[in-house]
Order: sequence, then C-alpha cells, then structure tokens
Amino acid sequence: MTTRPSRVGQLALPALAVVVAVALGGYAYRAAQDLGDPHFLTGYVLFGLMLGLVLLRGRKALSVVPLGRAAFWLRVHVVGGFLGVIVFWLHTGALWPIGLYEQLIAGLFYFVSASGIFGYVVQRAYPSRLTQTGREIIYERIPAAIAELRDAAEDVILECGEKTGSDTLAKYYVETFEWFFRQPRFFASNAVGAARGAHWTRHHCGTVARYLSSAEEPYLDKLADLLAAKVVIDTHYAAQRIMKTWLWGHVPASMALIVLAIWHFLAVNAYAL
Amino acid sequence: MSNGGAGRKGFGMGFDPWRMFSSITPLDDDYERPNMAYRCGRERRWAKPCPNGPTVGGKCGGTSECAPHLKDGRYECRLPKWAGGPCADGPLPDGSCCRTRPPCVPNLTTRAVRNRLSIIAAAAAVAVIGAFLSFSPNSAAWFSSLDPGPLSGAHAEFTEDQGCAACHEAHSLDAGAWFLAAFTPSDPTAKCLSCHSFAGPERAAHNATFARAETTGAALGCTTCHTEHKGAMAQIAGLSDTQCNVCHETKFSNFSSGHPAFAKTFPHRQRTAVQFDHARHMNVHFEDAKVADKAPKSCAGCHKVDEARRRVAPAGFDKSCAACHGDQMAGREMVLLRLPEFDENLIDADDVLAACGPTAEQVEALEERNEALAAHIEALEAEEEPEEAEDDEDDDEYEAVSVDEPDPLAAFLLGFDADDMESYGEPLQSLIGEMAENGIDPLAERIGEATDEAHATAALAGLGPELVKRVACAWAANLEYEAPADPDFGGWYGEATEIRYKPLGHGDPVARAWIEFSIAAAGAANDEGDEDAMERAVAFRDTLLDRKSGVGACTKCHGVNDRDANDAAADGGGLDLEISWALPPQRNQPYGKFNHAPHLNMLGRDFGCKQCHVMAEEADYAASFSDYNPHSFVSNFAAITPGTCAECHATGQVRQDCLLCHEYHLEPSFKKQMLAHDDEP
Amino acid sequence: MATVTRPQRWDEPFGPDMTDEDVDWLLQRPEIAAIDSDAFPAHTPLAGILRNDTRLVRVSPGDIVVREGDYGNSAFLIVEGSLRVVLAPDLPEAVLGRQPAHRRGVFSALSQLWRNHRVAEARASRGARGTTTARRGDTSDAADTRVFLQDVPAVLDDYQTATLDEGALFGELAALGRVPRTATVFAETEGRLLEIRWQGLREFRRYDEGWRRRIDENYRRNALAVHLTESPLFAGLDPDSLQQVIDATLFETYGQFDWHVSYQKLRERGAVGAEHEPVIANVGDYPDGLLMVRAGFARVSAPIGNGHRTITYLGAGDYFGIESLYALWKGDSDRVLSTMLTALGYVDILRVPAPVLERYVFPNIDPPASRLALLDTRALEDDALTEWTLEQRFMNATQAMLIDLDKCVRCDDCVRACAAAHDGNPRFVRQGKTFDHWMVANACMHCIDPVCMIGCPTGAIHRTAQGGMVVINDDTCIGCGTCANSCPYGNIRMVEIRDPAGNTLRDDDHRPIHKATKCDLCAGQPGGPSCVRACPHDALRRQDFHGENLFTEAPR
Repeated sequence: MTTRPSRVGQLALPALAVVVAVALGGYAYRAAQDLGDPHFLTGYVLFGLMLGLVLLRGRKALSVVPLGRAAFWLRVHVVGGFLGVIVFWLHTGALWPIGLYEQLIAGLFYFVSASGIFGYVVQRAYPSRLTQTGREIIYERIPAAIAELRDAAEDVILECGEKTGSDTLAKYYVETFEWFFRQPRFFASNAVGAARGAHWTRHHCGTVARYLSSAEEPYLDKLADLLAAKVVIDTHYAAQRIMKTWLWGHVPASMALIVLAIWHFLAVNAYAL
Repeated sequence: MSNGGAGRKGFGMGFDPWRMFSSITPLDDDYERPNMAYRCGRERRWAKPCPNGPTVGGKCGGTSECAPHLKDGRYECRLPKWAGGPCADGPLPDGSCCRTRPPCVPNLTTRAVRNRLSIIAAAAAVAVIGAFLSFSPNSAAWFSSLDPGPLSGAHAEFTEDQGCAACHEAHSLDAGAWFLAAFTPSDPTAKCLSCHSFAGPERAAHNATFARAETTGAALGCTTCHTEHKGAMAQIAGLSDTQCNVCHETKFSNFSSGHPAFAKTFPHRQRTAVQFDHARHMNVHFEDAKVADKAPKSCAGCHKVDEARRRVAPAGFDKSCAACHGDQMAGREMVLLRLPEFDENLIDADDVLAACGPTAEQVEALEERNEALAAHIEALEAEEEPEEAEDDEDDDEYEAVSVDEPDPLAAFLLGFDADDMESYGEPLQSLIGEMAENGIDPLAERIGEATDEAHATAALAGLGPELVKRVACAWAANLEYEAPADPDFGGWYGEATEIRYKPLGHGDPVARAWIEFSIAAAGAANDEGDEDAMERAVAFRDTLLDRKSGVGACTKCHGVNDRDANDAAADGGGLDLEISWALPPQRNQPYGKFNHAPHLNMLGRDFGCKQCHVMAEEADYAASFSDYNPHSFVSNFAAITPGTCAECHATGQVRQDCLLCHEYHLEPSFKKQMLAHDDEP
Repeated sequence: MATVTRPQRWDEPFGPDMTDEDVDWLLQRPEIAAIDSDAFPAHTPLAGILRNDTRLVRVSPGDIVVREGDYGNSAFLIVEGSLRVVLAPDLPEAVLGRQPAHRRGVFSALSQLWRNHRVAEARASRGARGTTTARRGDTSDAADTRVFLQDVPAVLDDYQTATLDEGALFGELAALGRVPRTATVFAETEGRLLEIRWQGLREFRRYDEGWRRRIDENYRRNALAVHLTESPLFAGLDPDSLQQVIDATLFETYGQFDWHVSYQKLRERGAVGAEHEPVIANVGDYPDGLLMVRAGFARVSAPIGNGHRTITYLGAGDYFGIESLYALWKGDSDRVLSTMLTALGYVDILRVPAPVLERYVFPNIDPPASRLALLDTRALEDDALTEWTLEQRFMNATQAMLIDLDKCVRCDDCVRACAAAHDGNPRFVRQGKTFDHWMVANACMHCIDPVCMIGCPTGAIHRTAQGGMVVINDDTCIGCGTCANSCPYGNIRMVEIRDPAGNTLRDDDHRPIHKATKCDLCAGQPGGPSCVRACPHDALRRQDFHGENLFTEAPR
C-alpha cells in the first residue's frame, strides 16, 4: 500500500524549493556586491537542475528496481521545474536575453516550462472529467470500439430498412451520423469540457424523429444508444489524446534544450572562464 | 482480439454499445501491451485491428488469420478458440488460409512517436549548432552558435577583421584545443590591454599601489567590472555605485547618505599663494567709498568665471589688483651696494685713474697745475720768479665720504661682518676697484658663485656696466656718485653712496630675481655647511624679505613657503624656501573631479560662489602667513562638507553616483592608432 | 513453426522416485486398502493417484514436517514412526527456521531492461517446461530442504504437544482449505510419511466415503481448539472449561466450496444481494448459539426497503449473535435476532450453544454493543462502498489493485512497469469494475480464499509458503484454463506462448499451447510490486480489503 504524505509533508518540497530560490537569489545579490559573477553558480545550478529534471525520464523506465515512487519523482520534477524558471531568471538577469543563440535557448526553455505547466494543469483537470462520464475505455481500444459501434449502427440501419421498408432513417444516417461514426469528432469541444457532441447527436436525433413511424422508432432509440456510447468515446479520446500528446512538445524540446545547454556551457567556459 | 472482423454476427439490435467499456475483460481478450512500439495499422483508419498484431520489427503480422495444419493429407483450419474456432470454409487446397487481408502499415504508438521526436529534436539541436558554427575571423553571420549578443558600438566595428579572436584567444584554436580551453581558465584582460593603457599597473585597483599595503587589493581583470556583449547601446564603461562599494571599507548606499566626510579644511589644502584676506577686502576695503569705482562688484570681478573648471582662477594682478595696488610697488627700492665708511683708503689711485680717468677735481687740479705749470713755464721763460706752488698737504688725510654701514649683500658676498670696519674695508674697496675696472662682472661673478649664473644674470639685468663703472669710480675717488638724472621710471640707478634699484612695477623681474637669489643663497650656504656664511646669508635674506622695506614688500602678498614644512626629517630653520609668485599649477587629482562651470551656471555666475564658499568672518586669516609653513593655515572660508553638496546631489534630485565625481582608472589612454593619416609615411 | 508436446497432468509426478513397488506396498496399508479402487474413474485410477500425486518421505528425529503459518498444498499420512504436534505456545520463528523468499539483486533486476524479450509471451521451447524456471515464482516446498529442531526434548518439555502415531492423517486442513498450517508438526522418531498433494487428496475425498468422513472429523477436531483459543471470548478459559466448550461446539458449513461457479451465474443475472445468498441465520430467528466464522465470509445485513442493507461482513474469528444471546441471558425473553447472517461464497461456522456461553463466557464479559445501532449514525452513502465491495466479492482480496480514477491520467506506466518485470509481458489489464472514482483493475487480488486453485490438475497455481501470494508455476502449467475460468474477477488470462523468434509454439496437432498468467506481486523482483512504484500520480495502490474492514475505513 502506498502512503500519501500528510498536508504538512506535501509542503516540504515546495518549501525546500523556496529556500533554494531565496538562497540563490541572495547569493546573486551578494555577488554583485563583491564584484563576483553570480552567473557561474546560477548557471551550474540551472544546468544541474535541468539534468535532474531529465532524470525523471530515466526513472520512469526503472520501476522494476526500488528507486523511490514515481509519484515522488514527479513531485520533485514539478517543483524543480518551477524552481528552474526562477533560477533561469536569476541566471539570465532578464526575461529575454541578448544574443540569438541565448535567445534560442531561452525560447526553448520557456516552451518547455510552459508546456510542462500546461501538461500539469491538463493532468489535474482531465481525469475527473473522464471518471464523470461514468465509463472507462483504454485509449488503444478506441479504434476498435468505434469500428464496432459503426458496424452496429450500420446493421441497425440496414435492419430498419429491411424490416420496415422505409429508407428515411438510412438516408438521414448517410447524411449525418455516418460522418459521426467515422472517427472521433468534436475534439476541440471535448478538449475544453463542453458537450457539443451530445448536443449535436440530440439535435440530429430530434430532427429526424418526426419523420419516423412507430415501427422505426425502436431503431432510432437503438441508434441513440450507440450515439451516446460514441459521445463518451469522443470525450475519452480527446482527453486521453491530449494527456498523451502534450509530451510530444515537452520531451523533445527538453532534449534539444539539454543539447543547446551543453554547448552553451562549453562556449561560455571556453570564452569567458 | 475478439472476433476478427469477418462476419457481423452479434451486431445489430442486440448489440450492447457499452461492451467495449471497462468491466471484466472477456477472457478471450489479450493483455494491452503499451510497451510494444507498433499497433495494427487499421487503427489509423478507425477500423478494428487484426487480432495478430504487428511483428516486433514493425511489419504487418495479420495477413492471414490462421496457419493451416496438414494432417492426414488434409489441411485443417487452426483458428484459435478465441477467434471463433476453426472456420467453416477451411483452408485452400494449397494450404493457405482462406481468410486473408492485405497487409497494413503498422502504427507507432504515441510513446514511440515521442521517443523518435526526442531523438530527432536532439539531433536537430546538434545540427543547428554545427551548421551555424563559425570560427572564421569575420563572425558577422546573422546567426552563429557562438553568438553571445552584439558587442557595444565602440568595440563592434574594429573587431570585424579579427572577429571573436580579437578578444578571445580560444576562438583561434583548433577543435581539440578549443574543447580543452573550456576547462582551463582564460582571461580577456590581456587582449583588452593590447589597446587600453593606464598610467599605472593595469591590474591594480585604481591603477596604483597605495602606501597602505592593505588597501592594495587583489589583482583585478578588466572583466571583473566591464562586461561586453550587452548590445550595441550598452554603456560598458559605466559602473554602478555597488561596484565601487565592493572594495571601499566605508560602504554607503548613495552620496547623500553615508559618503565619508570631506577633509577638515576641504577644499583648501594649504594657505593661499597670495595673501589676500577675502574677509577684510570684501567687508572693509571694498566698502570704502574712496575705491568704490575700483572695487569689484562680485566674485566674478576678480575670478575668471568664464574659464571656470576645477578651480575658478583669479584674473591676475593686472586685472584684479592693479586698480588699487598698482602703484604700490614703485616705492619699494632695493639697495644693491652701499658705500660704507672706510677707515683707510686702500684703493690705488693710479688704478682708479687708469680705470676711471681723472675725476673732475683731479681734472681741475690738473688744470690748475697745468695753469700753474704754464704760469711757471711762462715765468721761467720770462725769467721771473715762479710762484711757489701750494702743497696740498691736506691730501694725505683720508676721510671717507660715507658714514653708512655696508649692506648685507656685500657682507654676504664678500664674507665680512657688517660691523667690523676693519674686516670689510679691504674686500669692499677691492671690489669697488674691480667694479671700476670691469663693471658688473666682479659682482656678477660673486653672485654667480653664491648660487649660479642664472641668478646673477637675472639679478643684474638692466644694470649697465657704465653705471657701475661711474659709481665705482666715484666711490673709488671717495666721492659720492652724482646721478645724471632722476630715476622716475624705475630701474638701476646710483645715488650718492648707493646703487639702488627701483622696481618698474608689479612683477618686476629684477626684484623677483633678488628675492629668489636671497633664498637660493641661503640654501646654498646651508648646503656647504659654513656657519658664518650661512649666518650672513640668512641675514641678507631676511633683510631682503623684510616686508616693510625694499623689495621684501613683495612678500607682503606673495607667500614664502618652506618646502620642507611637512618633512619632519628636514632640518628646521626654514632654509628651503620658495615664493609663491603665481597661482600654483592645478594639482594632479586623478581620481576626483570637480567642475565649477556647471555649478556657476546653475547657481549664478556672480554670487553663486557664496552658496558653497561661505565666509568665515572670524577666521584669523593673517595668522596663516605668520610663518613659512603653508600647511598650517586658516582659510577665509568655512570648509565645505558633503552636506552642502547633498543639498542638490541627493536622492530624487541631481545625479549622485560615484562616477559623477570620481574616476577609477588612472589616466586611461590608448595604445593603438585608429586612423591612418595621409601625411604619415 | 515450432511444435512441442502438449503438457499433461501427470507429466510431473509429485514424487519422481515412486515406483510400482511402492504403490503396491502402499496398497497393502490398511488406510489405503480400505479404499474401493473401483470408485475411481479411468482417467484417474487409484494407483495412478498413488503413483503421481503422492510420495514417500523419510523423516529423522527433530525434522519439522509442517510449520504453523506456512501455506501448504499437501497432507501427510504417517506410515511409520511417531510425530508430535505443538499445541501451545507457538514455537518461535528462529526455531522454525523461516527462510526469506529469494529475490533477485538490483543489477539483475536492471538487466531486465535489455534482456527482456521483445516478442510477446516468449518462452524457450522444449516442451515449454523445465528450462529457465528458477526465476519464475516459487515452487512448492522441496522435499529435500527440511528444517529440523535442535533440541527435541526441550521442546517436549517446554511446549504442550500431542502425539501422532502410525495411521494418523494431518495437514489436510491447510491443503484442502487453502489456509495456513494451523500447527507445527515435527518428527519424534525415525519415520516414513506418505505425502499426498491436495489434488490427490481431493480425489480421495471425492470418491471414498471413509476418507471423506475422516478428513472432516480431523478437520473438526484438530482445528477447533486452536480457533477457539484465538477468540477473545474464549482465550481466558482454563483447559477444562475450554474442553467443555470444544466438546459442545457444532460445526457447520454453508455455501459451496467452489462458490465461484454459482456466483458467476448469479452475477450474470444481477442477483448479488443478500437475499440470494445462503442464509445462516435469519431476522426473527431465535438465537440458540453463538455463530463464529472459522473460514470464509459472511454478511450481516438488515432488511431495508426492497433489499437488505449490509451492516458489516465477518471473516475468520468474527462472531454473530452475541448481543441477542446476552440479552436473553439477562432476562429479555422475547429477544430474537434483529440482523441476518448470510454466506458470501463459502463459510465454515462454529456454533457454540447458549448454555455453554452462559456458564463459561457471559459472567466474564461486559455487555456487548448492538450491531444494528451502528446503522443509526451512518447514511446510505456511507456504506455504498461496502455494499459494492461485497457484491463484487472483493472482500476476498488481500492485494486488490485499486486505481483512483480522479488521479489516473491513463498513461499506462503501471502496465509498462509490470511488463518490464515480466519479460516484456504485462500481467494485468487496466480496466475493471468501478465505484465512484475507484476502479478495481483486473489484476490478481491474491484472495484469502483463492478459488482459482481448486481445479488445477497439476498444482501449477499454488500459494507460496511464505507471504501467501498465489502464483502460477509457468513450467508446470498445462494451459487447461480452469483457473482462468474459475476466477470470479477475470484476473487470470490465458496466453499463447511463442518462441523467441515470435512463432507460436504448437503441439503435435498444431494447436497453440497456452499458459495461464496473472499478477504475482513481482515475486523475485527487489522491492515488491512495480506497478505501485511506477504510478506518477499516486493513483494506484494494492488494497487489502480483507484485513481492513471497509465499514470503518474506506480508502480516501
């Protein structure tokens, strides 16, 4: 069983980060008073911090050996990331540096930090939304699920046509619902937590309902069930996809950032130290 | 993995739309394997993936559903139970499965894509660095992997040819050495110093070594304070007050709060060159109605405010003082030589006759004799009885024409006591004899021997040899000299028993030369160690410098300063003197600067001075000139304190940063020439 | 395409050294001779069972045969010699010589990162058995590693023991009941034992009346004293009083041994409430004795609306009805049971009659609280979790994988970590029943009562001797699928195995060979289950539903 840290225990890590930030800031301020150059220490601290943040990637691959819980490592990573922004500002002394190469590093750094914050926010916000759909589906099974729903919908439509002899529903299906069952839809709406998909399906079911006979109605009801399932899938797809693909920005950018930082370290040491 | 997609059994009205959602996984479902990099490519088209899945290498693994087995000569379908069991159609006669599908192109999972993107991003970063890496001298490419920001305008242009290597040695090394340079210390200071130079050791604080050893800090490089690459507009020479505060023990946040007090008598370090009592003049003399038209109306009346810099010099005697004091020089005459009372006449009359020719008396006497002789001859020729010549018996008795004492100069030059008639008789008369023969030369010689020829020349400038001869001849004949005319305009003249000099006016060079000589003579005598000579020299000097008589009146205004006043090791007695004739040259103060001009502009050219230079009414200014020590003094003005400056130079008002008044570097200059000139070879 | 021979039940006999002579000799033994061999079916003849499911072992004086607390899969029939069973107090751990489970070192665990197969479910071929087995789970106790007592006479002096002579049968409780050994048994003299693994014992019990009765009686007699003394009600009694209680206690069983069969059927119909469970005591019944749960689970509920509201569930050692009995003793003669007791699956009940209680127990205790009163302070919502847990029979779980869906970002790091620890193959699926924002994932819960073990023909699925984890020995598994079908929670998956090149391993008839797989709590890995360590959001934990009574402590 895992034990969660108490409220007070949860504050320990941010408090430590604040202490480090204040100490480093104080050192930088004092260094100016001593004709010292605080950039070296803040630079090394920043570099070490970035390497430490990257270690999370390694840790994720090493769950087989007892290295501490990944949840703890992630907390260190998040707190360390925020601390890194502060140390970055201490190191550059400005929000935006002079010099194209440093500006490239700064741009990448801000991108990595912003994407990290974005990912953190997203990962706090989305899971409960998914829970509240009342259903769970594994991301990789979504294509299969959509395929099944699509096949089932087509069967329902075909059966309706066969059994009732009317093609109203079939025609309407081709115009509207076929598009919906083809692939996940309303990505943007689901991403922000709106319910456009449900609204759309409701609206379109209502539109065709008035033209259906009582024999056709059960088919529309069944179709509505399938549509409701598809709406849930779409919600899951949007949220889970975002929770997976935000890392396409964050991780590669951080790798590039490390490379650029290593070169920066070499250049600074070759020319200024 | 359930139901390979062939056949639609189970869909339709009886289908449970929530089947795929989480509950208990049907037993025939395989695990989800997120650690595998590939998934069936049909998922990309939102179709059901085939149950086999891709191979590890990323190829489609599900082109056929089963692998038929040859048993007893027949092929049997081996479709697993979870796929529905053996199919109804069975394998084809050649043993291939009847259910085939075209191969898919397997999909990478999001994580696999992410891992690839990471490698690509890292490689791209390396590529960008490599592509824009430029070690050529002219690294003015729009983007370089080594671009740390633009140089300041001053440095940017001239480094174009050499590029980064102009300042950074590492830039011109080969790859391996460059890499190692990242781990060895380097310092651009040497390169800075190839152009910039200072008047002292470059790496020492303030480019100087100070007396107190502990104030000489550790060696500093240029980059300790000056950082480049801050943009074309950056002011890299400017330093912050904080940086100054680093080394100085007394630390303070700004000028108006905490700057150490100025020196006690700031800005006055010693007494003024010329004794000018501002208080008396401004309060008393200038108020006098008699001089109302001559007195200056304001400080600018005497001080040259148009040329105000570190100091606002007064305009010089002619402009500032002559109006009132201009004719006060004329009466200050100096005696060069005085014919004293002799007790006996030691001068050879024949020499005198040879040098000077006969005197008028002698001529008269000769004429009388000639007449007498002629009468005698006449008588003889007439054979009459000549008259008996009268014997001048009283010629044998000598009576000096003068009753004075010899002057101290003669006493000094000739080395006799002025009181002792017996001691000075011979040397002085022989000098007179020489002067009668040779004019100035004997005197000049002796003056030159006492100090040097320069003094002699200057002191006797304008003294014509005829005058000297005539005077000397007269004295040699024991006669008073009779001057042909009155010396109305000054200069050398003889009168009765003295050769005198009347100064032409202020700044008379001869008067000045004599004062200089008297000081130098005393000093030279001191060096030789002859006590008697020194005594006489001092007596001569003191006579000459006596304010109340003669040219010594110069010292009424011009201060006489003992050069050794602050030197405890020097012997006392004030023998190394100098006169402050003119405003001393501006003292070299390399680390502090002050310019009156903007202050006078702001505060008023006429009376702005009063803002800071406050008269100290009760100060005993005159006491400053009571001795030869220029450093013990009382100023007319109260000392200026930082508080006075801080009335304007304070937070929220005028600039008060260290660099406003202080310099760090000692006389910075340049080693290199920036332009080639046409006329140079 | 590789083909291998399909594994069979008796491919690995329990005792490889059993010979036909041994079998013949055994058949002469009175206990075996009494068995009617015709009652056994053709595919499992008595001789075959003796040959393959039993073995003869020798013991020397001091050898510990079974240790209290160990899980065991076999019973012992004393053929020659005499043994002692330790009654009280328990022997210390050091004397019992407990060995720690073997776990691989850190570097060895790290090397999995590059040594794991890339192909799913790869095994080295060669019949899919017996090659690289050392690291796969824990096999049953090896006969050749025995702990022995250093000082037998001292033990006899200091500890209360009873003698077991020739013909005595012991250990069947643990073997059949899937519970830990209840007592330590060691050899006093030289001897020979017939060790019968429980698959064989099961056949004996199924097909022979004598053995069935004997086993049940043994069960009753030997275990009872121990369990009574473990309860606070009886712990303070002197031996004579205790014996009185033992003699008066009745033994009852409710529900099916293989309860999962009926449960799965009921669940399909949605009939999982108390009203569908076997009733042990009903509301309104006159209480005639204290009902103590000896094994299994029973639900205490009260009628509400159209259903029954669960008040709590009882596990081993808990008892039911005491407040009513006490009230009756105090003089409230109209008192009847106000709550209902039903069997959750399979329950062994000890019924201690009221007179015994009134004479020996009630005078020494305080008045017990009423369970029903607990409902006054609890809203329906408070117990919803408990109701759901019991409905799903999750109270069985010691290591349920509980995922907080409000924290889980569905990243699958847990599945990847599980795969890394198992040669690239995950051993659970991240889906399962959900309640509010909790999910119990399809990962083996290592039940207190593992019904999956019941049907295994070879004993491949077994409990480890220490820790009680349920693991599958991949080498001896024949892929019949019984365990997978039995598991009421769907936590065991059958997989087709392949060779390292990726080709499915097939038997001579070209049918793929399957193995049963499930979570083994990362046995053999340093540091315990990887899934818990791997979750970056603290969403996953292994919850012991059995130990923690959800009635008072629900996961936050």
